[in-house]
Formats: sequence, C-alpha cells, structure tokens
Amino acid sequence: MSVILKDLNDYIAPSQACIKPVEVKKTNDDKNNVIKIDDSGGYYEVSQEGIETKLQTAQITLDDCLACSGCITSAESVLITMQSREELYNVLKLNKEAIDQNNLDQKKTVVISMAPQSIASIAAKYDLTPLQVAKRLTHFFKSLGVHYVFDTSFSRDFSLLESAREFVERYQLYQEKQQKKPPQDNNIKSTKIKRNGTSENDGAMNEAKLPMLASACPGWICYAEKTHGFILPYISQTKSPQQIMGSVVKDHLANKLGIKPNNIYHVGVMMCFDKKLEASRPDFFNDYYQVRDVDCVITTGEVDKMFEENNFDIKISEESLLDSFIKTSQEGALLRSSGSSSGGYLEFILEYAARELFNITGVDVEKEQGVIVKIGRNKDFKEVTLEIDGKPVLKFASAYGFRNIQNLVRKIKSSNSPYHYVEVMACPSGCINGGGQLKPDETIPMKDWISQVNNIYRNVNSLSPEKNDVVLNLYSEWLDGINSEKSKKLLRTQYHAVEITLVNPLAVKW
Amino acid sequence: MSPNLEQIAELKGHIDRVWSVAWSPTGNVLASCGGDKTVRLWVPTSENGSSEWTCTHVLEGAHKRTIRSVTWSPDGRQLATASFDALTGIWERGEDGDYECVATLEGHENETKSVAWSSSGSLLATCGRDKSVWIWEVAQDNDFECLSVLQEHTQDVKMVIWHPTDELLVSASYDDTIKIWRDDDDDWYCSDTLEGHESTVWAIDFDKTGDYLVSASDDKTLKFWKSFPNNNQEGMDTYRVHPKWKCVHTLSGQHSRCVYSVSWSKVHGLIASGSGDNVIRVFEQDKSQNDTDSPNFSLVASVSSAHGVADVNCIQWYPTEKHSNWLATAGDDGIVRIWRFVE
Repeated sequence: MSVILKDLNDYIAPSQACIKPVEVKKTNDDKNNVIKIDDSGGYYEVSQEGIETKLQTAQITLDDCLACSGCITSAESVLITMQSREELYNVLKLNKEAIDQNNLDQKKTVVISMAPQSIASIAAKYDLTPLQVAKRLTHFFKSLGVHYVFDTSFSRDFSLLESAREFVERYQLYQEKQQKKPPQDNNIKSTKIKRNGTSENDGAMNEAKLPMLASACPGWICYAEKTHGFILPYISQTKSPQQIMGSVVKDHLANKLGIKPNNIYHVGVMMCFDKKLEASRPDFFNDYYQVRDVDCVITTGEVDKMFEENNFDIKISEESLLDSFIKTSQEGALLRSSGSSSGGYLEFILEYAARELFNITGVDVEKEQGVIVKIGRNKDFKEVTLEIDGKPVLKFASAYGFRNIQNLVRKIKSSNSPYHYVEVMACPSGCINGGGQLKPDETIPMKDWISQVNNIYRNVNSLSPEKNDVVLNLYSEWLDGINSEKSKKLLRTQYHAVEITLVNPLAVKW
Repeated sequence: MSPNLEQIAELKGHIDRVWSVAWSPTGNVLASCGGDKTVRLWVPTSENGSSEWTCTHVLEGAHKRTIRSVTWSPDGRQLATASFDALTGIWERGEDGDYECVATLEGHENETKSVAWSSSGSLLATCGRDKSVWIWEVAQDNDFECLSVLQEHTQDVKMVIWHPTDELLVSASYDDTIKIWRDDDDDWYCSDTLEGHESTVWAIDFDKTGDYLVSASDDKTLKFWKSFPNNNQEGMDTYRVHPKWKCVHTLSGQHSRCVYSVSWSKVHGLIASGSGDNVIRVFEQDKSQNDTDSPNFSLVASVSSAHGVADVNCIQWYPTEKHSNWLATAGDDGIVRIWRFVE
C-alpha cells in the first residue's frame, strides 16, 4: 500500500509499524492442537487428526487507529481497506438487489459529497473546467445508482461562518480575561480527557485560548491529539466541511426526505486519506441510529480508478444538472469561498473579525487590500496583519506542512506566538496537494502541477459565505437560527488527547 | 619500529558508559557524554604533560535520559547534545564561566541519536529512532526554526554529519543505507542513497576535501565512497544534476564485530575506527596510488582491548595540527582514553 504515498516529504508520516497485536483466535479449546505458520505467514491450527484450519488474524479498525498512540497518524493500509470504493460498490449492488426483489425498505439513499479540491484535481488531469467535472461526476455517480451529488464548498460556508463567530467569541473572552486577571502561565499540562465528553474539556471555550487553530485538517487534528495534548484547547471547535455535510445529510436531508439516518449511505470524495479517519471518529457516530454522519470516504485517486473500472470516459461524458447542496451562482456556475485552496479560513475569519471587532470593512485578504501580507521563511508559512494607525490589532498566519506545524507548536508551548489565528494544514501547499489527489505525468514537475491545480481551483468565482442564501436559510429552517443550541450541537465538536500507552517493545525497530 | 598507538591518559568521572567524545574546534577542550545524563569537559592540566587531565565542567540537569552524542558549534561557543529523552540541548558558557542549557529543541517523537552543526554554524541537524532527520535554522536569541523534517529512512537514523564546507548533510541508518540531503530553494530533499552495507550503518565521516566519505557498519566493514561529478566519464545517472556517490573501496576482515565509530583526520588523512570487539584500528591510504577513483587503504596500527572487555563506542582525531596524532575514544567501561599515534 505504501506505493500510494511514497516519495512524499514533509507530510506527517506514520513513524513506526502498526503495533496493534494480531490476535489469533483458536477454533476450539482442544489443548492438544498445534499452530502452524506457513511460508507466507498464514496461521493454521492443526488438530490431532492432522486437519489444518486457517486461522483469522485480528482486524484492525479505524477506531483502533484513533485510540492508539503507536504511530502519529494513520496506517494507510488500514484506511484503504476499511473505507473503499468496494464498500460503495457493495451498497449500490445491494440497492439493485433490493429493487429487483421489491424490498424497497432495504434500499438506501446514496449521497456523495465532493470536495472542491478533488474537482480541481480531476479538472487538471482531464483538461476540463471545474463546472464540467462537477456535472460529469454527477452524471457518472447517478449512472451507478447514486441519488444525490453535493459538494463541500456548500457545507464549508457553515464551517467558515461558525469558525468566524467562534473566533470573535474567543477573542472577546480573551480580552476580558486579560483585563480581569494578571497574566498567567499558559503552559497548562494536558489532562486526560474522557471520550464521553463529560470531562472538563467541555469548558474549553471558557479558557478562550488564542491563537485559535484551524480544525478542518484531520491529519493535524490526529497529530495534535496523539502528541500535543496541551494544544487541543487552542483548536477551533467548529466541524470540518466534510463533517458538517454529514450533519446536513444525516439530519436535515433525512428529515426532509422522511427517512432514517441509517437508511442514508453518505460518501465523501476527498483530497485526503485522513478524511477517512475523521469520518470514523466516535464524535461523528450517531449512537441512536448506530450510523456515522459520513459512512465512507474515497479519495480523488480512487474516483479516477472508478472511471477505469466502469469504462467511463469523463472527457466525452454527458453532463447532469447539479443538485441543490452545491455552492453555485444563480446562473448555475460553481462558486468557492475567497482565499486559500485549503478553504480560505484565514481570509474569511480575518475579514469577519475586522468588521465585527474593529468596524473595519473592505478588507480583502486575497487581494491584499487593507492588510499586510508577509511570506515566511518558506512559502508554506504566511503572516497576515491588520493594523490600525500602524499598530497591529490582528495577526493571522497560515502554517502548512510538518516543519511549520513544528515551529508553531513550539512557539505556542513557550508562549511566544504572536498570532490570533492560524490556518494549520498538515500537507505542504495545503489541501490542494492532499495525499489523495491525482499525480501528474512524470514529465511535469510536482511544483508546476500543484500550482496548476491551485490555479484551476482559484479561477472559480468566489462568494462570501454571508451571501450564500441557501446556507443562511438553512440556519433558520434547520438550525433554529444562529448561535442556537442546535447549531452548536450540529456544527461543533471536540477533541481528545490520546493516552500514551507503552509500546510493545518487540514491535519497535531500533 | 612500526607505527603504534600508545595510551597517554585515562579520563575517569562518568558513572555509566560513555557514548561519545568531541574535541572543541581548536582542540583545547574535550567533551564527553553518556549514560549518566551528563556532559563532561576535559582539559590537560599542563601544556606539556598530557597524561594529567582535569574535568573542568559537568553539564547536567537538562536531560532526563542518556545523552547519546555531543558536538561543538564551529565557533566553539556552544555545545549541542542529543538525548534519549527526545530533546536536543543547546549549551552555552555564561558570564560566570559555567555552562547552562540555553535551549532545548523538541520535535522528535522519541530517542534522538545524533546532532551536528553545519560548517557555517547556521544550521543544525538532528536524527533519531523515529526515522526522521530534522534540519533547524539557528535564529536569534537561541531560537531555532525547523526547516525540514526528512522522513525517507525506513528505520532508526544513527548519525548525521555535515560536509566540511558545503550545506550538504549525510545520515546513516539502521536501514543499512546512507543518504545525502541537499537544499533547493528551501526544500530539502534526498539527492542520493548509498547502498552497499549489509547491516546498520553506525557512523560516517568526510575527508578534509568533502569528496570522500567513510562509513562504519554492523557488517564489520568500513566503506569508502567518492562523489563523482555530473559530467563524469563513467556516465552514471545523476539526480537533479548533483554528484553521485559510489563505493570505491571496502575494508573487511579488520573487525570481528560491529564497527561503531570512524574518524577521518582532516589534518593528516589517517582513518581510525573503533568497534564492538574492543579494538581500535588506524588505516592509511596507499600513497603510491595515483588512481583516486579506486583508492586503497591499509592497516598501520591497532590496539586490542582498548577499553578492556568493553565496546569502543566513539573515536575522534584531534582536530588541529598541534596534537594531530592524538585520538580520543569513549568506551562502555565509562572511561575516556587519549591515545597518541607514533610513527
């Protein structure tokens, strides 16, 4: 499996082989049986009569991955086997069988949510526009039996609005706290946090830690939970676009269609393998219906493989009309949010905060209007400052890739961070360069390829989340309004430090 | 009389095994570190009588576990320590004359094994059990910025060293390979992987030109590597038009166990190795040879049971002309020894 992720540098890579024990379940209690291992490493139980039975090795689930402190992020082989296009094919096949046998109550509504970075990657490879890709993917998935095809630019607008509100809340609380109390030691040791959410972490907002750190990148979240528990209170509690789409589909859409969440099969098409891990988090599991908000995640690369497997030629494909939960203009053109191809969190939150906190309007970070933009030691670190009368009032940064995350973490730990908000992404160049994206021909240098995909992404027109009427309507129709209990429940989440367990010494390679 | 090595001093003070020794750039001070979580600094008591040495400083308190290696900054003002507690320590002599730990670099997930300063002193490299090599830039006020985290080794990385003049880094690993790392517009990448050793590569050193490398391995051999320019006559493949390294000589049959350490004198070009069979050996390049593409090396001196029955963990030539025939060794017996090579 490592073929898929080879030759990547500066990504957060698993640092050691999976240490989860492979348990051997013997078929019966007969003590006289022996276990035999063949040349290929298969285990067999041999009974006294000489009958060999192949033993099953233990399965490692994504839950195990999340709870284990063994490697810093996910073992990709587990990710690929647990959530795959085979699973999607299987659901579609069962659906067909249910229809053939007229078992309509067995049928699942299948929903796909596409990341705009995945669309840009496919557009680059096949020399199409993002709109053509969106329409042709819609056609492709629906021809396979999928019912709805949405995009996560749509749900990202919720994520941006919530992040910006959360930032303003934090900033105000932080200012109050600074005025009331003498400065305190920020190096609060991380405490063990229980998964059921009844612990002190619920009060994390009250701590109002700054800088607020972006929460949309699951690679970063996983790394922070496993190695830097102290930093969790700094991370925005707003869900990622994928998981907000999970709430939209399994709560709002389910209600609207009058079906139960467990009768919807929701698939994310993502630029990133770690999105599979994110979908598996217990926080995004509905205990009552025993179902996940996002059932399965497949990467851009896996979608490309699906084209092959289904003899689908996207270059000459028909196009279908786009469904409603896709961010489009009234004329039906695709829209994005302004700013970076990692979602534009820094840009939107800064513009929103400038207006809400300092009454400064007309800031446009993408066009470098009203702010000072400084590229750091490397292109993956950027500082954006808002000044009033020559004095910095808001200092934001984007930090992509492992090296920049390291420097940021060390700055925060030693209370030397000058930032109010940092858009943190685990991949160098951000989400547009996610591990699940399509690779260029060997003749094209990686840098050129990334910038090409980035340009395609950024050539889509942008619209502020505050002007996305469909999203604004859903706040009242579905979430009981802005800042309601329901919106907090469905749009925000929390994080859990992973306890360091003693590593099996036999599995460690010195 | 044939050349030999004579012991001139025994430096006792560590209360656990000594892992590493490092001469300061001028040779005036010898630093040693080990399992007792301290660094000790040693100077000869008098200019002439080199048999008496004094431990002038004990650097302690910053590391919670074994200090695996120690190194001086090129200007001799600072020391860096790599410890099993996952930290890299930076030490500086304060106005009161004592050394204090002025910075700790965090980032490695677990044991760090080696630390090295680039020739200009502006970069620092660390490596460790988490298979990664980190490059840090020395910023102001004892602050260090992480420039790169290189994760291409598939196992524990044992040692990092910098080229004697260029910003070129070399790492040696339990994955049996040596990797060469270069910088291109702030992106560090592996420009060459040197394959040939059949087991862990424990140590590496450059010659004074930086065109040759020597490596010491658990496969009981020393290998010599030469960098061939891009337009070389052999017409070998090159990556990003950089030189390609090729093994030009293998010394085998000289050590009966793992070779842990190797030092290539920048003054006179002799090579010294120390190993798990408790032996120190000194090799010389055959001078009669004109073919620099296939140099030959032969044994000129050795000491068996150099640290009694204990492993020789580290060996280092004195860095300058003054006592260029001195060697320092560190052993599992907790003792640092100074040797003189006599021709």
